[in-house]
Amino acid sequence: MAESLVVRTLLFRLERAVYGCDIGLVREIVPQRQATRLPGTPPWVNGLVNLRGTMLTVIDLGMRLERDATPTTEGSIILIEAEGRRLGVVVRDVMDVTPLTVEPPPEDRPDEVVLGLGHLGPTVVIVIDIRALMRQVLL
Amino acid sequence: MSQTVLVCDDAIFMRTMVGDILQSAGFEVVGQAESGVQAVEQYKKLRPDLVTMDIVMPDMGGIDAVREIVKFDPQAKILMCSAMGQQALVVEAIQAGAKDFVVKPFQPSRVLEAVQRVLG
Repeated sequence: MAESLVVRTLLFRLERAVYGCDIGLVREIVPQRQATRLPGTPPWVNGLVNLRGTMLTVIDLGMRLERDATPTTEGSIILIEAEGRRLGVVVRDVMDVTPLTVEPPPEDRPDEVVLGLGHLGPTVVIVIDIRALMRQVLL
Repeated sequence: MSQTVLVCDDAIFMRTMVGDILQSAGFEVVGQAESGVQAVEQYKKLRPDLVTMDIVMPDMGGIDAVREIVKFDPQAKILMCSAMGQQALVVEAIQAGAKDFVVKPFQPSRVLEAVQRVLG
């Protein structure tokens, strides 16, 4: 069995649960803003947002991950950057940054974009693999 | 007064084992269910402090049972019991409103830790 993994985690809330991602890949957090829809993209792709002159692809993570989720309208955009690419991820509420032990081991991956689960007091945190999410969206 | 538990699993062996672990820690097992449908019915009737829920059961699976129970009582405290390799289902159960999970084979200490977290 693989070792559990400790990740310095940015915690955020979607409609139905608490999630987290590696803070090391987060560049900025800005209020959600209107996106320009891209024709032919899935419903969870909000579209393009102009962030200080740079066009950013933005997705609604709740719509991507949660069954029967409703679109987020007044959340935050987490700007992530990896391997020279940038992606905006809309979440409902940004909560905190904390070290989190992620289990079970990565070979038991349920969904390419779920890295694993962690415990924070009484709350189970679903930890997202941001790189996998970016590959799915941007390739 | 001891806290009450509803134990839901289609395998009698698992129900007995989980029940024994919880009883030895001072909980009162007030009901058992062997399907998701029974779990929902029993929850509505018994209103236990805690539910342990197997993920895969006949009639209605554990995740749909969680959805129904949480719809009835958003404060319901449900602990999922999963096998190795069912993490996708655990994620779905947490999104459906389950509070925590334990992975089989059960170690009593792990079960009780999770129960304490769920009950706060």
